Amino acid sequence: MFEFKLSRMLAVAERDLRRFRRNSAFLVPMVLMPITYLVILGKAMGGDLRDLPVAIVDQDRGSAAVLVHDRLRTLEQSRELFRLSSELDPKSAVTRLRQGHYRAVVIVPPDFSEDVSRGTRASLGVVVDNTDNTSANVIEAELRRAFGATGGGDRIAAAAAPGIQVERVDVYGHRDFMQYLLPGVIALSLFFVAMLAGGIILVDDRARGIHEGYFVTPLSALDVIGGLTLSAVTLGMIIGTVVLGSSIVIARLPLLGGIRTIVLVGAALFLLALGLILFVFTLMARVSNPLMPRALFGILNVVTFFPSGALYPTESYPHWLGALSSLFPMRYAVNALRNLLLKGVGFQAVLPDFVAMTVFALVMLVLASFLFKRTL
Amino acid sequence: MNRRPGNGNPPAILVEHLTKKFGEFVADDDLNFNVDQGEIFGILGPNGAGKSTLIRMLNTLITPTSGAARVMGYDVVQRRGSVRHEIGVIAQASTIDQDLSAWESLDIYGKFYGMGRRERRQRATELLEAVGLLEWKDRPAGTYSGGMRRRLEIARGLIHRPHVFILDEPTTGLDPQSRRVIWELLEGLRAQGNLTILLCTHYMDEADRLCDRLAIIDHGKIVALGSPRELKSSVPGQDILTVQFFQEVLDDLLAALRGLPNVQEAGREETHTARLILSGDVVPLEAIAEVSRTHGNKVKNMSLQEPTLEDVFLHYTGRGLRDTATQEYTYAVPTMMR
Repeated sequence: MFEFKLSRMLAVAERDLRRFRRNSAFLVPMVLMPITYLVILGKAMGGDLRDLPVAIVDQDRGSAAVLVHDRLRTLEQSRELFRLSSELDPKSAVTRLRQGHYRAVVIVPPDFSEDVSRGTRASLGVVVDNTDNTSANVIEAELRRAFGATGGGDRIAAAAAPGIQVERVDVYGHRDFMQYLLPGVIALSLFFVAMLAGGIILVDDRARGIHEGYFVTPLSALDVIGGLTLSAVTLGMIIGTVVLGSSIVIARLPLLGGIRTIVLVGAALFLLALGLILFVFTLMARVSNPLMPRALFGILNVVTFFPSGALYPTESYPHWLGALSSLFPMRYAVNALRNLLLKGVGFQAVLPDFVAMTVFALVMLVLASFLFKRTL
Repeated sequence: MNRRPGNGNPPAILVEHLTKKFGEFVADDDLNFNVDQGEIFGILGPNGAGKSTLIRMLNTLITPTSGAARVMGYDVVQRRGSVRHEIGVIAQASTIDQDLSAWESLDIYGKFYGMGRRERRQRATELLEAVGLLEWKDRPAGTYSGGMRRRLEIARGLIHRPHVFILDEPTTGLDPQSRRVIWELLEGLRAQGNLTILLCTHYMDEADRLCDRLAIIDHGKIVALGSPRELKSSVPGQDILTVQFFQEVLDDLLAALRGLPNVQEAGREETHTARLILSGDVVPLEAIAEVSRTHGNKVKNMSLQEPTLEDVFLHYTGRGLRDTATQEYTYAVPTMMR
């Protein structure tokens, strides 16, 4: 049982090394994957936020309000942290925040300047979208710093001279990181389904002659692609629904928006599953080696999932990473699912994301149909 | 050379000047033949001769470079869809879905051909009974033996009642019992009379037993075509004499044997065995013994046989090995990888 001979062991090793040499193309993903991790993850996590959309509602229009304006403009221009807009009244500004247009609304209340000039406590209201706590915390901290706040951790912090206090209001109830992560986890489950059904099973079936069996029947290329897509999307919807239901229970997320949210979440899952599966079909349209989808699994995961905003706000990405992430539907799905599940928004708010996912799926359908060979 | 009068119906398969090139390599070169309806037509040839390329052109998997082929009157390029309705195909490598049961496979393939539920059920039952798989119909095909899988493929290929059944080496790798069962199945199908079978095989006994006519293909060309009997009689010399010697057969002995009366050809079968193709009615037994003695050898054993299809095959294709390699790797995916 414990018999051992060096020459035999070396022969086994030689066989494996020769095999790797013959398949040297598959060594490329092994080298590329950690480098991709380094570059993508390094830039997708913990970067400085930029261009956060913030609205200012000035109900005072006094001299202190002008000071607030000026400081916010300075922040916008010097650090590019904010992208400022003006709103006329707090209600409509908060409504637009709930629809995803703003990350925060800064409200300068009536009598603000008068309170400041009198040296009494002057409150500057900051209503934040706390479904994205990272952005909310950064905005709050920057405002406190800008207006001389001493900090202290309270939601209402005491401000230094001239007596301005920054008062944070979370527009939604308590949201923890698990809830923030939930849309990304659902998107990730659909990515796994796409890689399994759209990549691994597709190429395995091709290698096992299943497609050759199809091709001598009257099935057209569209029959085959349509059928494979339908089965993979169905599997994706089942897996996505189970993961969604389990995650909602685990993360204790209240269902905002009722039936409307359920329908829209279902539509988002469908569009993401469709896009990802057709994307993987396109990549694997002419691949015959079963190792290929397995080798690409990790790289595709890093390239599509990590820069999707699932883990950290997309506003922190450098331009190249932002452009890369905007090519893939994960980013739009995560944004739409987050808006739907954490904010309970309506159709209008997620329409741009739905349009982006639909366009992506259509482009992939055309590419997959073009690349998928009906003959051997 | 390549036509025969037929049975009055238009040919099931008509091949005219069919050529397929892969870059500079000519896989099939100006092939011409026809297959009558109801006939079993065999295609023989060494590895890399162009058999599978021909089969794949006829079953629409690849497009010919030039020439034309018709199956049941439909052009294999212009009317691919119609051809696919007319043919049932058993590919060289198994295309059985091992995750599905026999019943599920037949049912799904029936749907591919637009068959109704009742028709599918009836036909599947009938076919599974014919191939002896009815009692295993609900087990996944992955649990079947090689012979069972091949029989399932035959049933699946016939689900839509095709007029032409194309089989590419259907018994390769099977045990003698399984081969015999498949032969009997094919003979049973021929007996029904309305199915044309195109059979590509390496087994001479299979071709001899099953085929009404056959074509031998080599280097992409048809080198012989006719019934097994016609082909056997076309080989020069009527008989083959195998002579086993006590000593190794040397070249000078072979040369001397070739010079004997009625010996048309002499070649080395094995190190101690020569193979002589004879003509005429007299076997020169004494002359062979004498020549052996003069070359320091001695006859141990002699056996006389009529030409077999293998002799025909070797006569037309020679004895050289035809090793070929594909452009790409071929992969087999074990079930456990899925």
